[in-house]
Amino acid sequence: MVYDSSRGALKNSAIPAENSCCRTVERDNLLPHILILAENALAHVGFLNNSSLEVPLNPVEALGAVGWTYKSVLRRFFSGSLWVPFLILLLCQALGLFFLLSFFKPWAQPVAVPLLKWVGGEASLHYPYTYQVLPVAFARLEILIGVLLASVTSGAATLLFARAFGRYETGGCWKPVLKRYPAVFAYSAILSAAIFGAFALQRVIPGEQLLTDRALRWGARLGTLAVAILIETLLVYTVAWMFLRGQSLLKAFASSIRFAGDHLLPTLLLVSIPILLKYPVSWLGGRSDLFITKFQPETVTAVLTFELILELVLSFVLVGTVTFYFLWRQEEQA
Amino acid sequence: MKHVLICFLPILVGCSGSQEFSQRFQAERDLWRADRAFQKLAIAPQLVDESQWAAAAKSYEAIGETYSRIPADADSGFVGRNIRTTRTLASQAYTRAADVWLSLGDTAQAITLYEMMEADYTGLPGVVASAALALGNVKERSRKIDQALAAYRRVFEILRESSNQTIPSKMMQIPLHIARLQEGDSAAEAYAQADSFYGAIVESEPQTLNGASAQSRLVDVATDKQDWFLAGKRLEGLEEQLKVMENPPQDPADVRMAIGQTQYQGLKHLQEGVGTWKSLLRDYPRSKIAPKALMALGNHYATTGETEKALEMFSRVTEEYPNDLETGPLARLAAARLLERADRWSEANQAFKRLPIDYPLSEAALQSHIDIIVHYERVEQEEAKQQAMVDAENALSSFLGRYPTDKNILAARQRLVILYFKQERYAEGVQELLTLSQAMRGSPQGLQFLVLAAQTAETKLGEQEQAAELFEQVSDVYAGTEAARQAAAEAKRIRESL
Repeated sequence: MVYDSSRGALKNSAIPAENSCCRTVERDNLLPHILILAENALAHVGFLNNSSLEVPLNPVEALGAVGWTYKSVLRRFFSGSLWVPFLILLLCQALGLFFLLSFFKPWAQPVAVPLLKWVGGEASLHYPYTYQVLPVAFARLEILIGVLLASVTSGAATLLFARAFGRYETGGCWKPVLKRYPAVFAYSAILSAAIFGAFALQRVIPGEQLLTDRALRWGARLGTLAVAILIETLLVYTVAWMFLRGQSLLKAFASSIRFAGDHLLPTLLLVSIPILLKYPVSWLGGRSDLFITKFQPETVTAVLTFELILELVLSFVLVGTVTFYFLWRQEEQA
Repeated sequence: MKHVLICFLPILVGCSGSQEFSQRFQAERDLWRADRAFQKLAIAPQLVDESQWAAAAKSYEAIGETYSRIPADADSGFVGRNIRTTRTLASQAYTRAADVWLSLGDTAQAITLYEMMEADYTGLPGVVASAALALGNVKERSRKIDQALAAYRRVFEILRESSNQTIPSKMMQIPLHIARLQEGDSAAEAYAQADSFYGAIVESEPQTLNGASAQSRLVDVATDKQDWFLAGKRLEGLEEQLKVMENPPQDPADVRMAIGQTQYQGLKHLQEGVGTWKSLLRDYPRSKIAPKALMALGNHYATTGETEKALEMFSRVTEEYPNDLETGPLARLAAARLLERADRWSEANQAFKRLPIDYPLSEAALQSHIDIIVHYERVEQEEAKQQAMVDAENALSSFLGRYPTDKNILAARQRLVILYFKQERYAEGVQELLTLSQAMRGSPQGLQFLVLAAQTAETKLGEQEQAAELFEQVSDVYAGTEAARQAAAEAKRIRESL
């Protein structure tokens, strides 16, 4: 793939010319202003030169790159086949939630009761306190689902997106991932442990202080969130390196960290936007005590369900944008 | 993978959960929802009609019926515990249903539920005792004392058999209550049984909530028998118990105060009582009972004519305990009255006038206006008395207008009645009495106000028809009482004279 300056596009690119980052901006189009600004900035910086992109982008360029990435992925928002991995994951998460909600039914008790008791003690087995504990218990279950399944679905989704972008034309999308299941499982486990560890950093601060000092409490929350975002930023390209470049897990980790380091700002934006969009809903889910006292306890279920659906959409966007950006930058460097 | 799943399936089936656990959770959920629906009605009860309350009662009954069908199980394991919890929840639903029926005036329905709970919950003595206690209360309110006693005795039997469980206060009261409902030899026997019961608890668990509660009841037994010496000794024992408890259910200073009162009023050992109150101030200076000890000392010195000492005690209440809004106004009023009796009127008048300024929401402040009028009546200063009555009426009306929901609103109305009667404004007095009787409907005080209104209407206003109607109202509202019978007779007499 080479850059064709006359067309302002990647030659022989399956990515159509209309996706070229430096076309003439038409005043009557509906691009947000930031994209217009970014596109022109990119043009001025000489982004279209054939040189390798080893120089980090400035904030405006980064914003522009992210904007273009988003635009490219959102064009495929209604491509049904791209949603399949995420829908499979959503189905498993919904079944997990249903399983927890049915904890009192005889068929669910052997597994759901110990999980609830582990999270909330004996009180969590009584109505309505079950709903107070539900978000935390479900979060623990989600870690398990994530480690077992989300790794596979994100691998398959990466390949599906790459195919949609014209960069992966041979073979299926599930078999290659399932063949390397131990590696994706290990990747998921390590990532989950690292992010869990980031949020667990809050326990360093004495609980009483956290309860009484609002500024400290929010500082701790946002601080640990920032650490979690950073961890995810550094490791987010691992799946792409594994399945689009055929690297081993350890090499893919190293490559992901290096790649993310070279493209820190855009990657930070790509990772943090979905996380920050989901954060208010996650925070609301954690305020189950409010729902129990002010509304019906079952409202917690509605919030968690909404959170799952939002996560579905944001995961689609994250995997899509990360894959697109990876491919785009790789080709620029080639 | 297939083989793993096939192996996993029998394990799952074998480890399947408990139906009883499931039922317990569903019972909790259904009861919680019913409570939430009831709370919504209770937010604005005046907007809820009888059919909605009845529907709430029926929904509670339905929950009780659903979860009472589970057969009792004496097993002490996981299954048995869940069954007992479910049946207890069902009984709570029945109890709430009975409470709603009682509030609607349907005692028959409530009695049916209580009797059913006594019969069907024999494996849960706590439930049976609560049902019997509630049944006893209903019977007692309906003046069926024998049936009430029978129910209370069933509670007593269960209490005797229960061991190492904290007994709720209203149940702990039952042996004493049984004794109080009886007379003569039966009462003496009942007091002896109560004494024995409480004594056994104190001996077996002295420094527990049960022990303290039982010791307190032993004091009541001695007081009822007017054995003040024994009451004093038992109070001393109670104070010792409370002092060593980590979270005593009662302030030990409160008990010391009671010891002083027993010595002073019961045994008539005045100096001993005074000494005890002084020791309270020394040993419990920061207790909220300390101002009451100062008041008691002040009242003692006022009785013995030691005016300055009495005034000193009263002023210490407000100086040393400025945040006590209960005793402070009483101390000020007592001081003002003492000064008035000592013919130090200018100081007394100043004290009376400062009361509503310093303690505007207190009953003492309302009383101060009346006390000023009483003084001018005593010294026969008619003009000053008239002015004082005008000032009092303005102050009381202003209080009613400014604080319509204050807890002393009825006290203000009572003072208005006194004022209207002093001014021979009987029509207005009767109106206020009717307002008071409506607000206290069903209570002995409400009865007194209604009877007084009827008597005033007949004797002072000459309104025979109104008087007859009011007496008939007494016999309706307080049906079954001696007062109601007398009121009916009065109404009949008036009607016959019309």
